[in-house]
Amino acid sequence: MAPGMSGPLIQLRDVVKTYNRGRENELEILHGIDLQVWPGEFVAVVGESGSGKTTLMNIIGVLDTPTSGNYLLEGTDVQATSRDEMSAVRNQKIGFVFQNFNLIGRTTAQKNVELPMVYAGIDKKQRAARARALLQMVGMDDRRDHEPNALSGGQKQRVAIARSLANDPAILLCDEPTGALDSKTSRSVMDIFHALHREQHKTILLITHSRTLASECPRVVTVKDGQIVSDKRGGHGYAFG
Amino acid sequence: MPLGENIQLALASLRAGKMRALLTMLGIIIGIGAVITIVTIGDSMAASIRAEMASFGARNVTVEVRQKDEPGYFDSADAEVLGGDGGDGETFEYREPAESDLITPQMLAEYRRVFAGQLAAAAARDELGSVSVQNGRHKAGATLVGCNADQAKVAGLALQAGRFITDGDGEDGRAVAAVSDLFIQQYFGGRLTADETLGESFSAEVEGRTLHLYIVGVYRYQPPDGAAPQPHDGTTNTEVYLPIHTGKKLLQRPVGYRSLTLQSQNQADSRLFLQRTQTFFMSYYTRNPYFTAKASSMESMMNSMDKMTQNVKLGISAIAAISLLVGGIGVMNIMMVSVTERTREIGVRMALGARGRTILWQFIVEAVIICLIGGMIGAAVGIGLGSAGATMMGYPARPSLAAMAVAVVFSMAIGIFFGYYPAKKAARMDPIDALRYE
Repeated sequence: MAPGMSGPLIQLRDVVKTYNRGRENELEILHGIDLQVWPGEFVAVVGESGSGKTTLMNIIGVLDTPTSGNYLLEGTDVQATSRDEMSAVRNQKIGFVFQNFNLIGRTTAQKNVELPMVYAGIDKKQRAARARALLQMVGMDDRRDHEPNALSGGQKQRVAIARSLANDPAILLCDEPTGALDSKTSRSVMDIFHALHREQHKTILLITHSRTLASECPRVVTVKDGQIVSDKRGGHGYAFG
Repeated sequence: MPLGENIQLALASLRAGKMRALLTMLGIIIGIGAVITIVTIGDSMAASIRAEMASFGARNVTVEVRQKDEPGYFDSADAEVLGGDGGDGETFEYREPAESDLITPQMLAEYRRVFAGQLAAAAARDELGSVSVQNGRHKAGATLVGCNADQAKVAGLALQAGRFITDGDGEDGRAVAAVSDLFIQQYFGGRLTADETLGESFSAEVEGRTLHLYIVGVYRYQPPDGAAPQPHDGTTNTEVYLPIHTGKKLLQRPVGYRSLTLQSQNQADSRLFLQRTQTFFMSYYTRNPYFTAKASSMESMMNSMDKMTQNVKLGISAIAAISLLVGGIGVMNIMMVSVTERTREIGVRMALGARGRTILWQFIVEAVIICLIGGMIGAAVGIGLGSAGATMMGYPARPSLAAMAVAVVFSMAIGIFFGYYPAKKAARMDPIDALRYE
């Protein structure tokens, strides 16, 4: 465990998520999840489709709230907050990377990366400089004036990764980030995550259904039928202490 | 999120769908364009008519001897004309006023005495008949007008040569006349200059009687603005002024005036002047069974005309407002489509930290920009069409800046009003559902 840290970055305590509560078609997706993620960890969350991993990701990403149980993000309970507060938490603490990139169309790579900073109220000059630096880091500096439809899948995902880092979030939340890419570009995208983890000590949650991809990560959490069925660490060379 | 960002975003979104944006704007363009066109034509017309009336002396008060049962052409439209009980038109029968029905020179003298110090001019004017006067192969059309000295002042006549009729001419019964430059041009075939015609004479035949008149003055003819000169036997009929007493005596007409034109020194208080003049002259007619005196002014006519054009503008603008309403609904419809199409984008923006009201403003700004651009195009089209229309109708174009400003503000209001609902729909989206939207 991380010595010297006051506590885990993400702490889920007996998180239950139920849809259509109190109605006939009531459906419990998560049945009491307990999970702790410490700063600097690179965790793969693996599970079949329908296992509840997307719901889990939505809760960790503050897009959704648990029906019962607690979610502490950096020690703060985000369960009972308003929509606006949830927006602010996502903006400041979560960096999303999606399977289908989800870049804003008709908007340049540069402007896409700037967007979270626009919502954070950072001034124009500062955010332009940061966006450029981030694009440079993912090797997209020369394409910063291109709109998404002029970029390949791998390039789009690099821009999306740059965007996810815009406000220097506590967690990178990556939902099948290589799901729409061929094996070669997948590799290069994964290399970026590994580099971010190794060199910048970013906390990364990688949600995937691919065991191969998960096996690259120092910690693998397996979700099945709304429960965590295994939580393995140290499967990799640079595994966390 | 600052407004500037939203505007850039909205413009980018509109650029991406130019044709759609233009079609959406069309309703607004037509609506605003129609209003501005009407207002421009109306304003140009009113301004031009007003200027024309003012040049005739808008503040002149006219007192006329009118039959008591005559259906009034002023008082039905407007209560500005005071006194007189308008009878109903069906029983109206024209009656020639007798000498005792006319305004007498004594009344005028008394009026001058009572209103001394505030009266600038009191002109008597009576048309004695239209004639054609012959001089060899040259001829000229003339409307013989009996008048007094003040007529030159109220009619704004500019003398080119000689003098105008004086009150002394009338008292002495002199057969003199002031004619127009056009008259001498036609009558003398251009052989004599204005100065050379002074002292020349001509004869005019009215009702079988011949008037032999000596020219004492020549004034500059001003064709009525906008109207073509009226031909009379191939000539232009201009007014020949002679002393009213001389004319009446020679034609053996009853002495007295059918109408007077009165001018107040204090132009600011024209309404009070009108009222007091009316009261003064009406007092002479209380026991007259058939006739009365009515005072009116161009200003009162102008006011009623303004009211009328205002009403017409309002009425047509109301119809145009319906077009704007339809345009606004069109904007709302397209914004609904846009919100649905961009559900995924809205989800992404929310995931990246956009708050509900940030999304709300994004779409409201977009709707406002559509309407604003539409409104500005509409205003430009309206100014163009309105100016062209006014010019075609013979009035100098007067584009109304106020109307343009109102149009622009109004189109913005339409954008906010009709953009709000779709924007609210976008702002209320659940980011999870929105992100998953295909």
